[in-house]
Amino acid sequence: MQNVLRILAFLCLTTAATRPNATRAQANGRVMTAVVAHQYGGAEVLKHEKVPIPEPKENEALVRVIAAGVNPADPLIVSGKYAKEFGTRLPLIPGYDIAGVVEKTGARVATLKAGDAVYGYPLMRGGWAEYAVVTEAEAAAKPRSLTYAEAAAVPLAALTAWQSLISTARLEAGQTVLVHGGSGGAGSFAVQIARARGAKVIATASTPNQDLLRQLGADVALDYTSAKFEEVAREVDVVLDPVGASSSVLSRGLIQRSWRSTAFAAFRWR
Amino acid sequence: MAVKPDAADLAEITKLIEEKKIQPVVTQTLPLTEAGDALAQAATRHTRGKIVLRMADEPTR
Repeated sequence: MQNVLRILAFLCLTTAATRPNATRAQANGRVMTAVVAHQYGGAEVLKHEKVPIPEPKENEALVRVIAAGVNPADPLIVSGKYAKEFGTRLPLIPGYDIAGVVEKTGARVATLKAGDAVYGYPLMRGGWAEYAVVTEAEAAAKPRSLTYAEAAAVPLAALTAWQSLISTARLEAGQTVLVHGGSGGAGSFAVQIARARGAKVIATASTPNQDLLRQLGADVALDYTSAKFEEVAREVDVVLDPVGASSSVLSRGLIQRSWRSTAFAAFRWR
Repeated sequence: MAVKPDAADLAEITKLIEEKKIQPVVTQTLPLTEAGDALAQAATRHTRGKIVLRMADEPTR
């Protein structure tokens, strides 16, 4: 356990924060309804306003949003606690996940065209609005089997789970993964992605969500209010922690490093 | 490591969805006017599955 490879996948941490719709919209005359924060805080700072529809840059597409996802990152951003790290400025429009229909595209956009059903992850561009812009790297064709509302629940949470489990921790078939908060937004994707990868999945949730863990395909469902992590942790190759729950493992001396509780951590156990 | 938008990763996820290997767990769909409630729930970090805000009706095709 001294060789724990530690990786923090801080929710939506990137340096490429761009200016939100509310401040970079062009004067094209058309307006939309958006959820806007003019100051940092909680739910009380969110206002519904008419703001100009953003104009896509040459590498962006303008999407008419049908549905938008809600993520733990939203209250973090609106709180202003990470304004410096994220490069956020006011006013801002929250919302990282969208599903909708492409309205128009910038000149250099090759893979998206008007009328396409898409879902995506517009970083810091404000998804809680009737229109949002995305780059090609931030969008993909909406899965046909999903409604727009279902598709809007996917990108950030599923990418977080995928990039942590697969890109970072390199989970392989036959390995065992412990997913904390397996019934939550990112956790529920992590359980399914790990199963699809051929891994054995041990997942934790509160008592009412034990059934959901099993529906998602967890081999072992643990109630974190009573689970004995020491007993399962010995068999675990990868730990995924979207909820900061590894502190409870840490406190039992199983591993020695500490993590920030807001981080989405994935690490090799052995 | 940052969670980053990545079209290739999103394509892999799309594939798993089309193969019915993963399915989003949407527990609440709220109108955009309920964004404040959605934000407050997300702040608890104890939501079951995902909350989604709806701006418009599902297109008929």
